[in-house]
Amino acid sequence: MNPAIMSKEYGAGLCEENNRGYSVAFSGSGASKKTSKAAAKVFNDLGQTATDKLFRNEKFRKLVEIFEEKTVVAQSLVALGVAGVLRPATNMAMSTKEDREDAMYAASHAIASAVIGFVVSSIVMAPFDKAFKKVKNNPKKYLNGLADTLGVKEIGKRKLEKSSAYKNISKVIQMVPDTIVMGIPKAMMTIALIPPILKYVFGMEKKAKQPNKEQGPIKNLMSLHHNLVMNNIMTVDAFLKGGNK
Amino acid sequence: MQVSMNTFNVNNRYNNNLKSNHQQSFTGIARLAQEAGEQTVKSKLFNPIAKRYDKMTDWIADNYYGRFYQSNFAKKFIEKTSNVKNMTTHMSALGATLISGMYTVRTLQNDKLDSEKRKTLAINDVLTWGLSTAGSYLIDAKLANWWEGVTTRFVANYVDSKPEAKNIELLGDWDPKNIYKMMDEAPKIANDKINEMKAKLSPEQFEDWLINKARMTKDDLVDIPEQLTAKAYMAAKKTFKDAPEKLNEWIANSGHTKEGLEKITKTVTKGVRDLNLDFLRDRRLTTLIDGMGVLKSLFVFGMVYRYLVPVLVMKPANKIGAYMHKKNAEKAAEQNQDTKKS
Repeated sequence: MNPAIMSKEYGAGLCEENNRGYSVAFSGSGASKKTSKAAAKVFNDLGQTATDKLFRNEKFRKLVEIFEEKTVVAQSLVALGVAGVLRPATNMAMSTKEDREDAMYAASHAIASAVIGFVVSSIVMAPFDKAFKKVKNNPKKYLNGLADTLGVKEIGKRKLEKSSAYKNISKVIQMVPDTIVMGIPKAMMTIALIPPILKYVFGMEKKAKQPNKEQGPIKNLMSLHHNLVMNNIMTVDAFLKGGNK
Repeated sequence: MQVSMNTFNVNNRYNNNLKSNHQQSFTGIARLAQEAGEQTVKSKLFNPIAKRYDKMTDWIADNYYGRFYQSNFAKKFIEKTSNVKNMTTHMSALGATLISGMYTVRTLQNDKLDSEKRKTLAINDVLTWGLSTAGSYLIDAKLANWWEGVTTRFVANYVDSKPEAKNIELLGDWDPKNIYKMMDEAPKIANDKINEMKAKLSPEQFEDWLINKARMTKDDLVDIPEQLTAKAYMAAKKTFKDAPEKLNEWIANSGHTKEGLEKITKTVTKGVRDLNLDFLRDRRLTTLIDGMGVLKSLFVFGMVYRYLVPVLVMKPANKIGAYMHKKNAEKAAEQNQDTKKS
């Protein structure tokens, strides 16, 4: 049978195959599973939901662009929201009267750490992101001779966008400066900057705890655990000397 | 007599709009002069810095990105990761592994802590890392299909709010509500339109239409029919699932080899990203679609590593620590008693 005729005859069936498993989350309400699955292929209420309003918002689109073009900065931005807002709020909400002071310290610590991480990443990555944009806009200059390696007919913007090899290696190259090269130095810098920020911005200083005679080493170990797990970070002095004090 | 062509086209209209908009914003010569003056001062102040910054980014593009792409490591890496999807998740996991590994090694090397404390803290580090990594990958994978649907909705909204992204010239004035249908039908619609225009226009006019209006390239004249053949092959495979001899007959009649058909099957428009890359050709939309994928992965990894596990693991980790320390204390006490007795 002629392939073109086959295409006409069986084309419709492919749609079902390709779209199997796609979301039905936005397809109306109260529909049974069978009908909603069929309806999922048409967005009847497009433009009417709160999600649609968000998706049409230019600021949201700019944010999504940042996630692709400045992935490392976006990663720090997520950390800022999660570790700098959500986790401190949870710590405070879960704290009891006895450990309120510890929780406040942990919260300030987490906020300071997230803010420093975001600022450092933004500054370090700014020239790299701009340089990456130059590569993306002029691939023929930087990727000359790599057409076969990247699995494309020729080096060109649109051709490359379809290449998963290009997508993979580009994401690695984009994230290496922060993840591999700057990862540990950045952690050290963050650790170094936290005590002065806690002292001068939040007005907090960690008091050295006296060993509790009644509960002895177990209580101290718990305190150490608490700080390490909640903050996931050590003091710079301890880090440089090889661990927690 | 001078004959002039009708020069009204989209570009002219765009330029005219630009001119009229620009003129409307002028409210007086004084303001214009003031703005120009401010610009000159700003330029004098920032130009040298901007130029140096620009040179620095050029240097990074040449010496970091350019060399990295051309390196043997990159070539080997591409070979090994040809089937890997979503590299952002792997890079996030790698970064977290490096930092967690560093903490664990430092903890184990800390001679100011006794060996039991070191072990307990190291177990805590490894447990936190292991749970975070496994949890992140699991949630990220579980959300993949749902997020594909969210991204499709996002694209439908983008196209609905920006009609020029529909590529009306090639696909007609389609309704973004039916974006799933368009993903399936776009190759055929595009193929029919291209054939129609090819018959209607002169070769020069057709080339101009293809490139400047339909946003296609000459390669697409081969790629789009190939897509249709690939789709027909996929349908034939489905139909003749239990009759391999009929499938072989179909392949023989198609004029392609099985290997060739398998190869072009990979080019079929499969999702909303392919729809844009193959037919809509909106560059910003490509960035946005990729950005949606990165957003999901970074959000999942951020939430799991920095919130869910640290908060949820703390209590069981403390219990394990307390239990281990209690056991060791008991053991030490027993040993002391034995020593005293002997």
